Amino acid sequence: MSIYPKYIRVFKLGVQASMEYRLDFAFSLISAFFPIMIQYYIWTAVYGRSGSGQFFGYTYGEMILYTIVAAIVTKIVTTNMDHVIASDIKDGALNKYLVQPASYFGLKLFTLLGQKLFFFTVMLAVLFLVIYYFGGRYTIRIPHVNLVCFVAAMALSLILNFLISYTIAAIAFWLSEISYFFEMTGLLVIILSGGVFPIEVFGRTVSSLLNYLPFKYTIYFPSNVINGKLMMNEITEGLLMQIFWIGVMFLVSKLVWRLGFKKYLGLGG
Amino acid sequence: METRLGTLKTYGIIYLQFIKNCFIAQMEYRTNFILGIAVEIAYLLSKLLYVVVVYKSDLHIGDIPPDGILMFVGTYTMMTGLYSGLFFTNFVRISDYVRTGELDLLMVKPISLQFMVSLRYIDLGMPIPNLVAGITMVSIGWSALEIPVTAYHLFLFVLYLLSALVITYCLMIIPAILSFWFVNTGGLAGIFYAIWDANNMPMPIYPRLIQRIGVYVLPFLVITNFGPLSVMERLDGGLMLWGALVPILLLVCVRLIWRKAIKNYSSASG
Repeated sequence: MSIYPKYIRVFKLGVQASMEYRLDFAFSLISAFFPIMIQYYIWTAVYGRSGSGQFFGYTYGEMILYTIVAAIVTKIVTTNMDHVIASDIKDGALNKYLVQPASYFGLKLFTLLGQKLFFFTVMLAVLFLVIYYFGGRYTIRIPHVNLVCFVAAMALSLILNFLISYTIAAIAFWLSEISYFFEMTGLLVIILSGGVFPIEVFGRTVSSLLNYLPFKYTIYFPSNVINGKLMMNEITEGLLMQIFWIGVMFLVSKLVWRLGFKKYLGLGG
Repeated sequence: METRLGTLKTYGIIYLQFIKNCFIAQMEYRTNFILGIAVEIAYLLSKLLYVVVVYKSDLHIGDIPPDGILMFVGTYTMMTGLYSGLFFTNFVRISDYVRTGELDLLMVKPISLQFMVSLRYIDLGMPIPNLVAGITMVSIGWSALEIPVTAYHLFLFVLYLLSALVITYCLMIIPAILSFWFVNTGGLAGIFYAIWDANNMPMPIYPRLIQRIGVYVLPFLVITNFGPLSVMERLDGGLMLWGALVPILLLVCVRLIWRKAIKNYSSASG
């Protein structure tokens, strides 16, 4: 038997789980709308008063598109996996996975992908509608190839983000009470990824530092692929960087888990 | 009248006891206490980014300059601190009480159930960074705008802060109360947090319709706007009165909804 059916099975379970709370999904769509609205009015006030057409290197149209896309992308790539994984480690639920003939990493990854499939599809549809509407309004022309690259960038950033939270979750091997810890790291990751404002807002020093970290490839990069700010060669380079960081984070997560595992007590369970 | 005062005193004593219990419990898990503060600092950083944008782009909203906007962000930050310290933990737990049937046990206690359920847990660590940062921002903005520090101004500001605190309690408890009917209201609470964030900026930034809704229908915008607007003397008499009345009206509404919710409660398990 091939090893894949079991992962396909958890993938399907993930899909089913995500369809279970549709009302909650609808609410989370609506709640994504408010931060966009607030930022829309802020930027409108900023650009409206000033004669200069650019702030932080963005035209008004680019900034509005960035705001909308980044909010939606943040919703898509946020995995919340660190909480789940950490509680598995903390209360010993990891034990039952260890005796199964499948890798914990693989199971979690495929559950996540399954859970996100429905969300991903709906969000992409919403995004394309938004882009179609605003693109026309602010005369931003987005080539079709950018749309394709965007879907690829999103898929990669979902995986990259999973790897980042998988690595951070391993902290649970060392610390016992950490629910707050993940809330903090989650938030910092979103800020550094450009989920609140484009990273140019942090100033030159910080944003050039961020070039050496994986975060900006999860939200900032895909959002800029679609608002027409990046040239084709920059997009290709970004996609390659995403793949590079996925490789690096994969190795880092393996290493951290191997070290952490030596501490694992398997309490409870 | 005297019995009323007596009841009020008893509840005051109970509330002090809640604070004491929470303090003891939190000191036991000190790492968690410190991490709680760290979380709030992370949130604070994301709010401070707005301040950075305001100053870097020299944002004027109507005729409110960046220093004025700082006062609004500061008030918002203070209110976030108070909300997270006094109410948040309690409101999150309410749907758990309903789901697990734990409410049965709380119901038989000889004090008001709403008081018990909504005010029992106080987080003493989380509000610290927000309160410190908020007060600092308000003070900086206040002095930069050269608003005289008179007893009248201080009274107005504190009055609207208190009014804001009551409004916060009433509005943010709504998703929790609705869990008596819908059990899972996490998504709805998410919407309320998102609307809450609209307070981050002075309300003249929004179109008139949103302002009307935010002041009269779902009075979120009263929370951080009325304090600074009143000391800047931009609040007309009608609005000033409204700002003082809203908390009372809301409290009555929430009390009525709460009673209805309790009637609707059927013990889940236990």
